[in-house]
Amino acid sequence: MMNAIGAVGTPGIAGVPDAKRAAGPGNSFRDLLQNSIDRVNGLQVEADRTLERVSGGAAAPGELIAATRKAQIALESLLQIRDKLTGALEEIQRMRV
Amino acid sequence: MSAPEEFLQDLTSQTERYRVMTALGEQMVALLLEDRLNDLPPLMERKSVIMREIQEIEARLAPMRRNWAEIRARLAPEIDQRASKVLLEARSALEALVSVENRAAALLERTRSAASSDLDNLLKKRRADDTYGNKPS
Repeated sequence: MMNAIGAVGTPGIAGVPDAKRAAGPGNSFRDLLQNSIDRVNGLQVEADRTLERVSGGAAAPGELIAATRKAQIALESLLQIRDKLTGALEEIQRMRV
Repeated sequence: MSAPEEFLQDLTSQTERYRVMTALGEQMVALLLEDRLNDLPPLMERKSVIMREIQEIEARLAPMRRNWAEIRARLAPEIDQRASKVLLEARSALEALVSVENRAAALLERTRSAASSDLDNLLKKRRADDTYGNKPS
């Protein structure tokens, strides 16, 4: 599955910079998504602590809190991308073919 | 190369990236169908890199887009014919991409709601266990 992702990834396109080269000041959209990804990782730790507190230290499925928050953050990022693409589609639909 | 030809070349490059984004979006849908949330961040990072490139190209295309009707009216027949083809391809690729992004968003929303609901049920059960002195399962 992930190999298939590699097959269609950025290295296959000439002039597509890798993630590290693309990083830098002013890359607000990329920074925004990177922050979201960092938040997902941080939330895993936070989620474990929260559920441990709720469950009084018993073994608990902390994955539920983490899954909820990961899905929420991923959804927010995805909707931002989707909205930009929808705007681009509306614009190209206005152009005479 | 004339300005309209450069415009069409940029639009073609943008269309290629729309197709890559669509393939990544389809991979995202597959991951969501398998509840593999942990595999999403690297995929989203790759999408963000390509999205940034799309926006860079978009910035170059914008001036021509704004005056497209006027420019189009003056195009040589050969370039005009090419423009139709490139525009239709871009539109089609973008429609496919928006469609897959909508599908991924719907799946993510479903995943988020299900996880949230499971968590609520778990916490209710624990409170009930605490109240009635049951050993948590």
